[in-house]
Amino acid sequence: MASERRWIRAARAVVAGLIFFVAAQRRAQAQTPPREPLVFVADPKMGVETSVRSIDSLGRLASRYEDVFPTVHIEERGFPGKLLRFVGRAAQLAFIDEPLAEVTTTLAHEAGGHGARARELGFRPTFLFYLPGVYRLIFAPGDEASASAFTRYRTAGMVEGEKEVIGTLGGVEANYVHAWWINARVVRGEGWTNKSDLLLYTVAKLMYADSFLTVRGRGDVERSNDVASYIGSLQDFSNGWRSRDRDQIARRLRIGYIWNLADPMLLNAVYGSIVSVLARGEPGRKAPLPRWRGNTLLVSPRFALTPFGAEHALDLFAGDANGRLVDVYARVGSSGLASYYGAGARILGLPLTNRFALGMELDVWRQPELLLDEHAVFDRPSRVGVNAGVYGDVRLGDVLSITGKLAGKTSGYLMGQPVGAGPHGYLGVSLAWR
Amino acid sequence: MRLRTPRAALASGALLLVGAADVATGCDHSYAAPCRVSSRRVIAGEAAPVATEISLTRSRAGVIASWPIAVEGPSLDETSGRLLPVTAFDVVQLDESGALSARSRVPAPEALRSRRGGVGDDGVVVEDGAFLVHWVETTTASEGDGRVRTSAAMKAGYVVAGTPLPVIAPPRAACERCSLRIAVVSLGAESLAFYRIDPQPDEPVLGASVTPVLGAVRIRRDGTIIDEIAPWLALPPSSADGDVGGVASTSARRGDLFAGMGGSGGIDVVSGGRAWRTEASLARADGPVLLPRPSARVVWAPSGESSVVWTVSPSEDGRSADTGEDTDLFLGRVPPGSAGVATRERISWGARLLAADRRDDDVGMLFESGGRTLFAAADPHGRKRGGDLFVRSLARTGEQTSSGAAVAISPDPHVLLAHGEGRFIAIAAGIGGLTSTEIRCGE
Repeated sequence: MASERRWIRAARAVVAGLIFFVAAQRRAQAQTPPREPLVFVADPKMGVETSVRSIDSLGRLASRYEDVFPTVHIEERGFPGKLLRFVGRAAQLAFIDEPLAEVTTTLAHEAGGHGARARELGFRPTFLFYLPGVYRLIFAPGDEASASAFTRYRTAGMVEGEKEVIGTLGGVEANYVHAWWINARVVRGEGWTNKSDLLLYTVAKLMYADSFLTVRGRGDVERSNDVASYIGSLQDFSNGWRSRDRDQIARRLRIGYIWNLADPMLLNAVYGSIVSVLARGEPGRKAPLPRWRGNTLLVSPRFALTPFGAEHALDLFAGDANGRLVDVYARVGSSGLASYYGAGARILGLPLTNRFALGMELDVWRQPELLLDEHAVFDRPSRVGVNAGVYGDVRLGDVLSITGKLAGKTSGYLMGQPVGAGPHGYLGVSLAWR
Repeated sequence: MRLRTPRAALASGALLLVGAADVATGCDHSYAAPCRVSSRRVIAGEAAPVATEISLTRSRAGVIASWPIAVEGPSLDETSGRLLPVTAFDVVQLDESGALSARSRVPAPEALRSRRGGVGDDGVVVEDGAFLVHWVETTTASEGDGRVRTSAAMKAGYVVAGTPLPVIAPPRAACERCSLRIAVVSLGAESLAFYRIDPQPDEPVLGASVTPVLGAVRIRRDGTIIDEIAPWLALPPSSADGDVGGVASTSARRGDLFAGMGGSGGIDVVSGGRAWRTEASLARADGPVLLPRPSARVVWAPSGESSVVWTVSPSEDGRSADTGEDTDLFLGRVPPGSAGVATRERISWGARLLAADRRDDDVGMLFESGGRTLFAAADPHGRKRGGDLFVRSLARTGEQTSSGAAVAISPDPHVLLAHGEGRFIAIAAGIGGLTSTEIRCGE
């Protein structure tokens, strides 16, 4: 009991300290990053894109905690003032911002990734989350689990083959979908990335980075490691049961992962988090993106996992501050286990009237046929697939909009979209709460 | 909007249209499973006692299913966990198409009916117009040095027209201080009984080397017993087993012995990680083939080439340090005259082999994966035909721990008959009765 009281006192002290330091950080900003509308959407199975957009908005909403804290001005004159402010920012980062980013990306990874794919495939997911970041060190110092969360599938049948790999890659997939939407926000914000997005982008892009760069295959790490499981699934997909097959798959994945790290926006996010936010106390960072005819341009390498191996895409974004965005991409697989490639375009925010904006997406690919209900098919045909859809946004006032998407696709794997054939989409609200 | 569509977007759009046209015109061909279940029938609806007591073996004319029944004051034998005494056997005969051809209840000879313990390898084979009931009687005693010694002897008795004939006891199929396994194969007018004797070592040394004795006796209805000479039917000392074909196997279970009619017309004999094929005259036709795993199955082809099917987990053959990984199903090829597996190709995963058979270039495999019976077809070189075919859900028996986890699960017995041109018959026994499933594989 005495121990509990001591921890309660410690927790109170931490919270009080946090309020003080957060308040101390606030200062008048000459220029603040724009705030995009919060989008909360839903579909019957809460698919990957649906979940990620909503979880992303929840995270952004939580990151507005500074709006409700009282403002305390601390002059940054002299060494003590600068040191106090730096310590305050570091504490804010460690105790609030990083845990918030970790919770958001973990929630997207588990509930919006593994969970979304599980729901789509007919499994019933359950989740287990650990305390984030520094709080785990404080309140659960003896916890040796390496993961920050787990997703379990409750099902009477087997989770194997392509269902297994799609469920496995769903976590990282959700993080990369999240990164895509942050990039879209950055382009529409003319390069501005706020503190929250800097951290979210960093954490989302670097999810499992250590495993990607070191893992060799099953048995090398604990079984809950998504990357190790993914390599094992690729072995099953390709019937590469020999040790050298596993090594080859892992080696190609390690090399391919460099594409994920060769992302200027990742560098911007890391630099912005450390230098702009932590060291200088700025509310974000404006990336020096090129401009062309009034539009902000961004060329972004995109890395993704597919049921057939790693995939490398190159996105060309163009957008403006009015919410208009065009993304054109091409993608190709590098696993060497199959031939898979594709291309597509996504246009968002085209105004038709004062109250109605339209968007559209079109994707085409050629990839091995997905055989979700087959067992151990090692030689399968390739199929061309198409996904096409429209986005709609109806403004009901200055703040509230009804937003949604209606699309249809053929069977096949497309990042963030259902794997099966048929209509898909979501419906929800958009809150332009500046 | 000042934004203009880049040329790349136009190029992508063209590619999209090409793709859409490709889909619309159906240029791509979808995967079509090459194998399907064409018919399924229940041969004997009522269940046999438990799967572990059902014997399901290939015969000259099809498949024989038999199981012992104990109807006269049965009691549990603590040693074997079985209900004794065995008072009769239910025998179901199926033809090559898996259809029921005969069903009988065979009374056990009085010598077997009187046994309340120490009974093993009991079963029945079907000859023309007669049944041969066989069993091993064991006697366990503690000797002066405190060691427990077992003596064993084979017994057999014909049953003709429902009447048991005098019991036969082949002298060669008996031993002191040993363990004895037998396997009996019907040849129509007579039967061949194969036996394996594992002597108990004189000194209680851990891992002591013992040399099993393999042999065969020919048994006839008139009581004649012929000791066969088959010098090729030999095993090295049991401690020398293992490490076959580069696979670090666990040691073969002592006393393992299987003998039965093979699909190629000969008699298959498997023991101690070795497999032979022999003629009815006990002239060796093929073998020995060193099996990569003790539980591997060999299916012989008339050409002399054989296929070997087995399961092994990545941790058992050194591919992974993770002991929890799925077991893989492999198919290997043994060239004519060769003693070992020359190739191995993985057929599936998560598997426990149940049965295999081959006809011409069709190799069929029945295996368990995740509580299901699956079927896979391949050519002898391991080129698999499509994916695995779901055959049935497995009704499994086994003990349950207090937490509900199943342990020591025994698979239901299965027999697979290959008929050529992609046609297979899968016979399964267990809860739900005796079932026959026809599988057809096309191009």
